[in-house]
Amino acid sequence: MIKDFFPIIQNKLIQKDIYEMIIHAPKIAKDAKCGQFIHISLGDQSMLLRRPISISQIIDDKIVICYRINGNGTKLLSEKKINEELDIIGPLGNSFPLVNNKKVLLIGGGIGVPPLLELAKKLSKDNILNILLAFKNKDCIIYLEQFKKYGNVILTLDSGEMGFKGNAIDYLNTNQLDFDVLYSCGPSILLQKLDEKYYKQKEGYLSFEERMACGIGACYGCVCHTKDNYKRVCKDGPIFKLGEMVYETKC
Amino acid sequence: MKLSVNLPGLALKNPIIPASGTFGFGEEFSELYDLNILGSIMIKATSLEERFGNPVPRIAETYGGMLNAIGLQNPGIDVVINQKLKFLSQFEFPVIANIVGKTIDEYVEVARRISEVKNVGALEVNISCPNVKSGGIAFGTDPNLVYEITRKIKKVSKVPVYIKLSPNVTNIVEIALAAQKGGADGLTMINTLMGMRIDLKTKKPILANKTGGFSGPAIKPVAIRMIYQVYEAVSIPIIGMGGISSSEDVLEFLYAGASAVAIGTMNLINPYICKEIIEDLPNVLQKYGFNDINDTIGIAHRKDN
Repeated sequence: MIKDFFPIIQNKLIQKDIYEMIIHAPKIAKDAKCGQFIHISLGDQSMLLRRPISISQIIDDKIVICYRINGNGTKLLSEKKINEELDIIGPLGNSFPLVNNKKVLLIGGGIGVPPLLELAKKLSKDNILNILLAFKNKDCIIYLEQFKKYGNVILTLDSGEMGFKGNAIDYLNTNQLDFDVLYSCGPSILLQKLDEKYYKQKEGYLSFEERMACGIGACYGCVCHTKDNYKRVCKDGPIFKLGEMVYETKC
Repeated sequence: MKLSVNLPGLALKNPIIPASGTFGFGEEFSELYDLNILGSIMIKATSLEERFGNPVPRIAETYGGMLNAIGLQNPGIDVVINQKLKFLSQFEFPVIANIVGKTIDEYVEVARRISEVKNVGALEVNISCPNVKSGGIAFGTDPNLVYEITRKIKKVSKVPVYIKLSPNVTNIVEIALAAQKGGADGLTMINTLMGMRIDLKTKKPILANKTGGFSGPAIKPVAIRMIYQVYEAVSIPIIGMGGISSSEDVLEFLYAGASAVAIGTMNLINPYICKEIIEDLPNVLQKYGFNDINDTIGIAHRKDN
């Protein structure tokens, strides 16, 4: 884990309210693994808390993140200029365990899609990939072409303008996909439904999020309820195994 | 430059202490820097049994600060003594053990047991957490209860006892005097201010607990004012806290009457903040003409300034 200032190389609008940022961070890129996140200071005294954002790609000595404007903090992040330096802590959290010679299913929902990109790149070398990407409508689609390089991509849109009409769960309820291992990142309702559907039958890994403060496991701000006691999303997660999370107690 | 201060039970090489609840039991931060540079550590509030704390969301941002409603999550006194304090015994400093209970009897039992641990230099009695239904602030807002709980803990504790005061009271001096009368060796202040934020989209409080403790740089003037008032009224030392983010802030707290300070929220923003302040403190002292940090304590009260 490093805390340092790193320059922005690119901060580009790639879809409505969605930005892709490339950061020159050799010390983070060197250690970063699929599914880990960085904790970014906005450099603004009125918005003190760092913003945890998943690493979507690691390219040589650069890391790529992708974020949606969701409030004042991400708005401010979107206004950061090239060459501006960001105060970043990272890489943080655990990572997606990698598998070999398996039939893999990746399921990304909305802004949960980007963190699966580096994973798809890594897994595509030794596995067969089905990649289910779920968005609200056509104007929310991101990284569709990139994922096609790594496997068979299935697109679902709530709006039905393209691909399958419905969400990822609707698709899985009406189509049989043959897979051994599941990976997912997306809205908590998607993760919960996947967990309930597959935890007894499949190996799988889900990436969760929660409002965080320290990001290093000290403050217990981002706990979640697992079968093995309460855990910290930032330090013990953000990746948890299928079947690990307890949902009935809303935590 | 002399940075060391001496407080009951606490010979500190410098007056910088990470505040309770923002530093866990030091384990995470020990991976970042050598904790031996610290004056002490105030451990996460410890209760008799394990506590799971409040539901999430537990964190909300506010202008210049944050709200938290962790709810005193901790592994309970057995794990704290057998694992956490054992881990901290590798460091030179005396530990300040923050303790909490749902009843006075629980406070007394935790105090009795934890004060016997060799590397515990003092107790910090948390009668000021705003995020739990029983215990915490319920004991910290009534002077009679503060007196009672202080007296009972003093009877059993093997080490000096500091009472952690809540700012959520009408007259903090009255509470401070009750703690002093009960035999407290010192005071730590202030705990968080009770606050709330509401989400404009969901139309509901952001925190699952609805209310939370407001902390961070935004609350600094409240802390300074309360320490200034309490310093004038009591004769026991004060460890000051509330929004400290720089060595200039540290000096301001010492001027107001604190003998040492704790850094809280800023540990969550910049995990190296305590280290950076310790390294910078001599420069700031020199800038304002001091050779000994003890000369700064309470200087704002001097008539001959």
